[in-house]
Amino acid sequence: MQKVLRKRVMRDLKANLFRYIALGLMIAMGIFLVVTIVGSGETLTKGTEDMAEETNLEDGEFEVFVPLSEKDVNKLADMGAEIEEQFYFDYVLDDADKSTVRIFRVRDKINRIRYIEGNEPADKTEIVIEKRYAEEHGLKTGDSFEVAGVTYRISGIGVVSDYDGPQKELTDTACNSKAFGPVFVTGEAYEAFRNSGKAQKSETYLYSYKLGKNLQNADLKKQLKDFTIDASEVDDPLFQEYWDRTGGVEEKLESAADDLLKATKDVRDGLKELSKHNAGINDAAESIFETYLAETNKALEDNGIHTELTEENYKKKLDELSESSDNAILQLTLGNTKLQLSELEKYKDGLADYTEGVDELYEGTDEMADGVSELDDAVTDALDEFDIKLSNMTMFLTREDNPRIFATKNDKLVDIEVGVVAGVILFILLAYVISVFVVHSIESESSIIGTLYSMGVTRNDLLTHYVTLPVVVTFIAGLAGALIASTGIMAPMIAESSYSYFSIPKFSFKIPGYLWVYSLAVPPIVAVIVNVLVIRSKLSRSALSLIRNESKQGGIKKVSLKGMSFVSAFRIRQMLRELRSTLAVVLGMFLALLIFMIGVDCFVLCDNIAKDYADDTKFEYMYTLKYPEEKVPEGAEAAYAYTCKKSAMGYNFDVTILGIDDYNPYFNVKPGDSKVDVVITSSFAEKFGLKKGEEFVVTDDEKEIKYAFSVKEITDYSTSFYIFMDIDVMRDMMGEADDYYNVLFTKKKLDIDPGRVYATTSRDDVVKGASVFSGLMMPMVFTLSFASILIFCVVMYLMVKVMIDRSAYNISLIKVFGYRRKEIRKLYLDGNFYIVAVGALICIPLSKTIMNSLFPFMISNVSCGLNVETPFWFYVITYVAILLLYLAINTVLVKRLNKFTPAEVLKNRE
Amino acid sequence: MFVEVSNIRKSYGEGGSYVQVLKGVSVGVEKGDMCVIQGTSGSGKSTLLNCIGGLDEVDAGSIKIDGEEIVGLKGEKLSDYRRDALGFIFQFYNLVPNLTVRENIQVCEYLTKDALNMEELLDVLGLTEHQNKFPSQLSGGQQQRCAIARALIKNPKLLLCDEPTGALDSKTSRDILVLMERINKEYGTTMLIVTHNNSIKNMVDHVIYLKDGEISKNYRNEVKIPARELEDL
Repeated sequence: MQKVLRKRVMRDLKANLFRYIALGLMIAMGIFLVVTIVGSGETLTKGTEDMAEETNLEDGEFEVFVPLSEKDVNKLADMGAEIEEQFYFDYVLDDADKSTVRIFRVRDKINRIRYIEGNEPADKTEIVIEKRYAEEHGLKTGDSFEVAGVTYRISGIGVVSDYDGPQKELTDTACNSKAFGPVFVTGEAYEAFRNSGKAQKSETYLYSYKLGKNLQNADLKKQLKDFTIDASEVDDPLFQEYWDRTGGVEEKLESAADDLLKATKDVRDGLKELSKHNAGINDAAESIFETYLAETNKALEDNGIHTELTEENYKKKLDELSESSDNAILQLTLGNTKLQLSELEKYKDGLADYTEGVDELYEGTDEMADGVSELDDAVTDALDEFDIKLSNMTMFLTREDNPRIFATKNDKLVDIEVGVVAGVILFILLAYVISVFVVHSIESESSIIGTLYSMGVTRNDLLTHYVTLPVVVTFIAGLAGALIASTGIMAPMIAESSYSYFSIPKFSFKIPGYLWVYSLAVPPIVAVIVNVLVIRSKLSRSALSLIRNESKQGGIKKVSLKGMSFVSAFRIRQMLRELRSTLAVVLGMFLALLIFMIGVDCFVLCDNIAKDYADDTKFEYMYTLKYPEEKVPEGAEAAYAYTCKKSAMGYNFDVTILGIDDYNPYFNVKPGDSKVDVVITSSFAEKFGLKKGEEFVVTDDEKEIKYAFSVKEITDYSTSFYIFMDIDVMRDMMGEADDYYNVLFTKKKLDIDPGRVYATTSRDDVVKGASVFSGLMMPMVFTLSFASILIFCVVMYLMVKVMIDRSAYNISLIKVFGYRRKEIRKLYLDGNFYIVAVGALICIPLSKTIMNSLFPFMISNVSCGLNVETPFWFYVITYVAILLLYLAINTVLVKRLNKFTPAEVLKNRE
Repeated sequence: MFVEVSNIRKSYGEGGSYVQVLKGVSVGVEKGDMCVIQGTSGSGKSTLLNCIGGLDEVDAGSIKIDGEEIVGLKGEKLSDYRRDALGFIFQFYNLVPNLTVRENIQVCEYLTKDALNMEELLDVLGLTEHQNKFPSQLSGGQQQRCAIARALIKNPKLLLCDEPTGALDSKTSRDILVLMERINKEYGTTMLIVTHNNSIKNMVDHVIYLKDGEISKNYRNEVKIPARELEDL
């Protein structure tokens, strides 16, 4: 039986050739686009990964104040870290763009150069130029290149993985190879640069590292932090000036506390020594008094006066003796004796008071010494807390946190996500379209199936028969799509934007294995699943029911349309009859719009970024300072920026706590005086899904502290993830001095020593950088728009054609009755116009809303806000375009109505 | 003559499969007549009806309806002819399955400005209570009555009926024929009825026999038997 049925497969293909060609084309095109977009992304991803491996890309890098000592290097080596100096100077060239070149030595071990053309420099007269900079400046191997008054011969053009995204500063929002590029020279030439003294700022001591087997980034970082130096070792005068005001003052405080403690201890020790003699002094005084009293008693006895003078009674007794005697001399003597004894007693008591005082003073001083010691400890602790010991390390950056590394790969993640989502949408649509075809096919062959059934053909035989053609067609179409994509015909267009932005070599387009499986297996699998489900359901009817082609006329199809005009009622009946096709039209439109909206969101996001960045950036220059001056320069607005991390959807993003004054003219923000209730930027709120009143946490990896905040207000600001605080509150929170700042916003360029500046961001840079994204995304936007329009047209055409084909008999019938073409069109086609019109009215906002919710996941790795707000006119244009496309398709299909002749009725009858 | 068919020829196929179905048929039908065309399978009766109805083109000859030549009409003009002059009744009813009885009738009502009264027609055909039912909910007889109503609603000058009782049982067939007889009387509709059924010829005014593409008999009935009295239906 299968043999006989198989013959019908070819006949079915011939009979419905156009339908299968259209379906096949749609699948092939879908696969082609998905494979091209995803394959292109994967090619660049794999290419950059392979290059990273090949050129021994660093695991991270760090900067230091002074080059590491041999001892430090050995210690790191013992830990298992391989490091290599990647010191550099920045030189500003006297070209039209006033571009900056970053001079490196040619690397030997880590981040080696991959040459696009030419070779490494042979001697000190040669130089290697980074590819993108060379392209932007029209440089090629053999050309001359002048830096700092010395002319070099370009020995090669190359790329390095640590400048995949060749941005000058890590904080830059975009790469601008017109303005910046790394170059590489021999060690000898580098020394010459060092000696030239013409560099923009002092040499940067950057090291790249590779981690050993059991070494973690955190361990290495901890060790590097422990490498402390004496501030005087740093030969940067700007550092020294800054250090005197900050770290130096703290050193003095610690020294004063030490001195105070030492002095207090000396006093205490002296008093202790003094108090040791207190008993002797008191004993001596007591002894003198007692001796004098005894001498007095003896003298009285010798003069015949019998009395016993004691310390307690001598005054009274002497007075009594004096009063009882008439002898004036005796009375005088007794008076003198009393006076002397009294003086001696006072002396004795005075000494006792003195020694007691000394004891008390000693005890007090001892307590004071303890207190001062505690003060000293506290000062030491406090200064330890503020890291008074100068760590040599000034920056530590892992490969994952370095925006220059794998910049292409991160950018392509969006393409891959978008491609995969578009593919899934396409296959949902494909499944539905196939199901419509299958249902149409089975319904039109109902009596044949019933007859075969009644003759003993099994359901599995029929299943196999009906599944064969869709499976073969979808497989061939998938294969064709993948094969065409594998030629890389469109890949260069998709990848070109990356090659003209990132610093990467050209990679040959390769389709990864999983995309082959995806292309070859998914379409037939979808076809099998849909067919099996639909056919099983259709074949569950009895043979007789199939032979009679009894259709179930139930549910919504039986809706009463009394009172409605004939034409309206007819159209509704037709729509209900063709509900599956009608739904396919709407679903096709919806899914095509969904794909379209991916492109729209990409475009709108980039466009909004470009506009918002220009609107929101009120400053002309933003200086991020390494060594701020004591006084804020005139005309500049000081701020305090502190970078923390916050993760979203598996990615870790830099967020900045920005301390500003209430009257800062560059931000429309009144931060208030709370350390918790903060104002955040709209881009921050969009990216992390925060609303007013919600709480959130950011992490300070450096200090291993988490800061919890509550959203007091969201301000419209797109360019950065800022958390605004009052600058004084922030200084207090971070333990900085009352006048501390590290960022300056200005309207005019400041005459500031470049050595003080970590990064300068001009408004121009921000605006130019923002517009770069549009260029990067545009090929994909065009591709998706083209694909969605094509899908819309193909699905619309196929489904409306199915509707018409299914109505062939009825159209023939009403032709028999005398209906004209216009009237037939009115009944059978114009109704679809309303479906499309109403469907588009619902599908456009719905698809946009859905895509707006999905979009953040597609660009989860991108550090920007999510303003995908689209102007109203765009919706109007899309709506009108859909109607025009439909009318164009309708015009083509009207011709099909002519093909149905009244004879169709006769054929069916006979 | 209301219908004038002159020397029409019609053939199908080429070479070995060439068949000449009508071989110079000439016949006329008076206005208001009920006319039966009979013949064996392959005699050309349905082809003749289709040619008169403009559903099939003739190779040669002339067909005039109410004096208007219809051979050679194409496109809109052919549509206008069918719309203005004809009504069709088929053996298998050919109702639009997703339309109710009333809506099926409206399909043809829509084509004319001078349509008969729908309610009256539904009443005459006994369809009033079924007007909101779908064809699948009706019996064969009810479906054929619906098809008749659809054909009659625009009050055609000529009603072409191709085996109108061919799919019906004897009782229902009689009911339908009674109905057609009544319509013919009430509306004066000229009817051309193709049928295998030998009894039907007794109720009509005019009988045409076709054999191998040629007219073998062509006569008027002197005496008509009312449809309700027909036997062996």
